[in-house]
Amino acid sequence: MIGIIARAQIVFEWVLVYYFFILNTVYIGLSLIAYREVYRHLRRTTYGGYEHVSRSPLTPPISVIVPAFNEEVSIALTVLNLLHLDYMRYEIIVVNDGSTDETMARLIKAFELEPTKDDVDDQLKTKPLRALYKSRRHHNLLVIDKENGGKSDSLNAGLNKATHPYFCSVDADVIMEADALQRVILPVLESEERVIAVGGIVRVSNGCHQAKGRITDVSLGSNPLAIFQIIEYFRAFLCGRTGYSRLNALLIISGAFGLFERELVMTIGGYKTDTVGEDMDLVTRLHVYMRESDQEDHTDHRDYAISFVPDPVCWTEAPASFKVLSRQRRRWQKGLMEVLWQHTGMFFNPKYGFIGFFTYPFLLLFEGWGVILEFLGYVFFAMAWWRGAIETDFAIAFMFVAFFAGAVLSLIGVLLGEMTPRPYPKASQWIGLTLFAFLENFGYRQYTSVLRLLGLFDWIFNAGSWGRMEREGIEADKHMAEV
Amino acid sequence: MLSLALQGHFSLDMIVFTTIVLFWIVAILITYMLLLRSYYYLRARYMASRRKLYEPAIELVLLDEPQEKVLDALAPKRWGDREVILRVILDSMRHLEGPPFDSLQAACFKLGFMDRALKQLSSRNKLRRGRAMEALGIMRAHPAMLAIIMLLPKQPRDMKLVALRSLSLIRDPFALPYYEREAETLPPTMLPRLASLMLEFGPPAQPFIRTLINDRPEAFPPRVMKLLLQETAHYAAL
Repeated sequence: MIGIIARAQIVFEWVLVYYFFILNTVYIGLSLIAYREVYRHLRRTTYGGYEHVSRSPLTPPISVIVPAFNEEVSIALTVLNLLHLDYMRYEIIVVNDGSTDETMARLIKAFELEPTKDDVDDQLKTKPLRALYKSRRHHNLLVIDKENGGKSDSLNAGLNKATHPYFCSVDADVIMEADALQRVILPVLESEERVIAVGGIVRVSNGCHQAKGRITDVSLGSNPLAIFQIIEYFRAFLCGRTGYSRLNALLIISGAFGLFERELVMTIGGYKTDTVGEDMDLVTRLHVYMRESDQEDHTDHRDYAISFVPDPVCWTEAPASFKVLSRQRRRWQKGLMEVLWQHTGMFFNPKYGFIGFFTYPFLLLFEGWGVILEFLGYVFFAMAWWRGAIETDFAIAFMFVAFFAGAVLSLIGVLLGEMTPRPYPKASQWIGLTLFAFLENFGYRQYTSVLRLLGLFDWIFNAGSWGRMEREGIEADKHMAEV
Repeated sequence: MLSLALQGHFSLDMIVFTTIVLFWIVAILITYMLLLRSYYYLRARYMASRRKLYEPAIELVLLDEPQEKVLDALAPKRWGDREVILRVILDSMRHLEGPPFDSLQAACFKLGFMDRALKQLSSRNKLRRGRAMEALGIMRAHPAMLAIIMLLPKQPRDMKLVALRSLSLIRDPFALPYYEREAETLPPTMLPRLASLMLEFGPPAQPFIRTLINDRPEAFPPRVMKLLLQETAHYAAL
């Protein structure tokens, strides 16, 4: 019996070591690909091209859909920001998802909304609509007031009323860069493949100053929790998603900002309402549809692309408290598992090419189930050291490897953040970010690892919901929300 | 137990070696970032200070001052200033029309910026070539048109688009048949973009756009097709 336990323990140790090795190798590999891609993108954009995009009558118009649930603090400011985007033709569709606060009243007051007739047949099934409003002042603003049905349901309601060939889903708390739509539409216009979806970098706005609905001063702020998340966002968007996108194996486009072909999304049934990972689910289903459909023009999987532009397109407020962060991370992990579990057919399926052989298995085994191993690894390592099963020298050396591996990844993220537009301008801010790239290995990573584990349990035991983000508003211009 | 698995196969020496390698990667990354930041910062500051010296020349152009005065104000005052002056001129030319544009165009020619950009078209460096094409397009440099057209077949697709954009800024209808030729080599997804560049030429583009949409109708979504037909009908009426 003791022999069996000992053997099992040895197997577990090996699994742990290989998990650690593969995880870091893949991340470093993706970061190197991302570095090359960011560099190429920056060189390419020096020749311009955006001016013509904003001027041409052929540039596709875009419907910007903003689902809002109890967003009274930020909704007016968000819509104001959206009304001043630098793009030729676009419409804004705000969907009030049965808010119980003043969201709807603020919208009516701020934008002089008046009821309008609903003369569009709804293709996607959603919760009943209460009313539709048009702005007296802004011809391109439509507000849908509907019963509460969740974020996906709201997006579907917006999709039903959208009139343009592309739509952009935007969270109600984000602040978009003025040229965001130009930047994300460029791959659609200039790619050799049909680009069906495009994502961009979502940056953390905590600590930043803003005026007139735009981020004017990029700053770190003083909340350590937010600074850790800035590094995480750099790592996730600049290293991870840029790398995956280069391989046309991107499975996630952030729900905070993403551009999609509307007709295609309608064809696959819009957003799924029974998942909390609706953003990832949509991208995954788009891959499935494009690779499995036998449309004449899409027989080859190389015929389409889901792109990612390494340019900052919008800013979002990251959770500033442990409570909210915990809810957010648990929801993300639950969403990830839900989506992965629903598409197990992708696992090592040659039809899905690189996604089937790399992205899907990696996400499932390392990002999904891997959290158990990661958590047990911490416990196991501590116990083994405490019981004297490993020597102190060895334990310290191994911890150093883990520490430096984590620091390398975070520093590449910070480096890429420095290279892309709108870096942190002050030297002290860069020093702060570098310092936090080291500090996050002492507690923060372990904390998020526990949250992800809890998220996994939430999925297993089917708990959790939409979640509610408590917003503090952005410095200097909170009164703008009152418009 | 961990000693059995780890210390047996992943010896302490190996772990220490990996730590040292990672430590050096961290050190290199920090140094690289420091150098990169310093370079960006110093360059931006230097460029801004040099720009200030040449920006008044644009005011002279807008005030319709004699060309000699404009040329004097734009003459390089220090080695390395040519790049700054070109940027100042191009940034203004993007937004100008009529006599002020003509004045800056003449300045570009007289100060040798046009010749320099023409020479850079044959550079092996893609970035330099792209920038030269962009500059020539903004200058609406007719003498460069043929050189850009000759370059077209040899360029990769992204550079082809830069060249076609540049030609559409020059707006000489002589270039239109070459758009038609390029349409045969471009994938269908890029044809709407090509058509939108052809629209920049105005009425002379009408027959070429018609041919394009007749030959490759599958490349144009209904909305784009409708707009193109509307635009070309409008041109025909003119």
